Amino acid sequence: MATIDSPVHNARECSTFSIDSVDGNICFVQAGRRLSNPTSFLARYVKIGVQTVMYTRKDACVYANGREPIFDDNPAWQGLDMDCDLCGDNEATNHIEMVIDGDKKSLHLCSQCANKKKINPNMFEGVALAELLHNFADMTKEVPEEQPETVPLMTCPTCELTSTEFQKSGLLGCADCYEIFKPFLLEALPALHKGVNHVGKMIELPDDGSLPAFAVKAPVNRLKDLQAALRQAVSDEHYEEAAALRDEIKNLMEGEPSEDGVNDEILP
Amino acid sequence: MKAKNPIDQLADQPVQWLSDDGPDAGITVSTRIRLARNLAGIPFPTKANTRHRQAVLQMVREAVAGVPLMDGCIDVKMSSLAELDRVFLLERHLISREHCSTRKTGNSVFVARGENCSIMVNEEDHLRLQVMTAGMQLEQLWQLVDHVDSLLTERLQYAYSDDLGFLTACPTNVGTGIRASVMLHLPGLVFANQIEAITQAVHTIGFVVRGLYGEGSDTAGNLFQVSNQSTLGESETYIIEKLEKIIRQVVEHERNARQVLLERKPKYLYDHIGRAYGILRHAYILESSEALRQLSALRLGIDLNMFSSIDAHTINELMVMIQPGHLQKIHNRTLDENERDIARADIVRGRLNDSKRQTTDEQSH
Repeated sequence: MATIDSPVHNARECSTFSIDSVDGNICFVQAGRRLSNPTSFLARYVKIGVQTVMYTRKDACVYANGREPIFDDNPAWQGLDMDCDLCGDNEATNHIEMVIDGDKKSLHLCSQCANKKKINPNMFEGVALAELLHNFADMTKEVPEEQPETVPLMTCPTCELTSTEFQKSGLLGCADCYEIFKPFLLEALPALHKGVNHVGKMIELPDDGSLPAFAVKAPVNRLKDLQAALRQAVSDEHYEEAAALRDEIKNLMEGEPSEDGVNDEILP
Repeated sequence: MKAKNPIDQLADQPVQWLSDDGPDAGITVSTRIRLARNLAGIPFPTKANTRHRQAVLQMVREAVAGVPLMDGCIDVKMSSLAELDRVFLLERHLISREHCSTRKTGNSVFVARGENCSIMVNEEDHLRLQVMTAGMQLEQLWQLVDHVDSLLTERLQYAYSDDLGFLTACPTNVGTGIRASVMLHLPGLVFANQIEAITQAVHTIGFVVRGLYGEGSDTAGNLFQVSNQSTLGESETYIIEKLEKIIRQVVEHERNARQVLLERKPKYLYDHIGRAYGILRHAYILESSEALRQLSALRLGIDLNMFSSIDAHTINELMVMIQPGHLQKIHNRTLDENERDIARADIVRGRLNDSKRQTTDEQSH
């Protein structure tokens, strides 16, 4: 496989190229050689030693005189009416040709598949080009359809966030969720970020891993605990205790979120 | 006498993060860095109840008191603000669109007097700490926000793990919790139809180009924000260095695009800018989108040294002041759309005529 030893900055734009109408390939022509039609194509190519990559997009082409391009009667495009190499359903509008180690390959993609493969004029920039050269052989492989992300059904015991809620909002409910939804996160994080481990500013946690004195105990659990205790007290016929528990539950419930901004003062 | 509305203090002063002299303050307009932080042991705002939210606000308030930069800061609850004031803060980039539209208990913002730092409380995360400055000053700004953040940690314990760093409500922010963004004025690339290409190129390296007000907003006035997406697996300084490199490249492309326009279509360009100046100086009714479009053209003319009497700061500030919230704040009452278009034209005309009066040596061509 070809190697690239320096960042590539010699991507060029050429305005003319020849079409091999038998094979339907696009080929380079020397700069200055003109097609008979006053047509200008947005085509980009890059040459690294004997390796070349060239890219053009049908809908990016314009006539030199500024007229709207009509592809049907444009001889330059005849022979390029082909279906997408990947999906086979749509018309190919993106054409790439590569000569790597004397081996010529071409690829014709519809705009959707080109998007999926990140084929665009910017792929000539250093990193993207290197990636392209190395992955060209794999390009013709079908991109697997994106599966809807599946989160196994689970609930965070601390904040009671369910996997369904998480899937819907994309937001976690508390720090513990990172542990609870870890299996899912381990799959999702690499796609979102450049790694799965924190690099950067660090802070020291307390030695014993304990929460600070001001930490608020999640009341949802507290509520459950109290309700369980209340049921127990009632079934044990400890009515005095039950009454105290009932009051505590009532107090706790009154601290639930209000949307209207009433009770806006800080509680003592 | 009624206590003065804290937002009025801001309305009376120029937008400092747009007015200060920043390096490279031609194409790069401003720089912003925000950190997302949550407090340990308390559910994130989406799952927090009233008590949690109030506790968070109280703790943050105490911690903010230990930050010298925030001395005498504005401390307001969103629920205590009229809609006009909330919109004003949004237009000033001091709060997010989400924060602007919620009035839940504990939703609050702290704004430094110089407006270079703001802390949103109980937004998507418990804290959204943000610093802003004019021009491109990523490195200095990182040092500033890092310093403020460290001062806050002296009094707050963040939700943090050694593996995943700072834990945030959305997994897209976990790790450093940093979003660094630079606002750029890119009329050249827009004229040359290269914005789409640049956006894609930036996207392939994991950064993103957005409109003026973040996600989903339009690109009025040819203003774009370039910012990082990934927050995990790379350090803050690495992200910032990378962003800086990207910005330099985009700026270079913008310069080239302007140069090409100057060489190939100078009359077209001068005409575009001259007309913009004419309209802005003499119009009595200006719609928002037209005003932004013409101000963008005028700003380009200033960068190309076509005007000696107006500076880029004036345009930057006008771009903020002509927004609905600001116009209504200046007039101190609700204005309907037609009234706003008139008020907008008045302000622009006024400022440009002031500039004209101050300098008498304006070029005659």
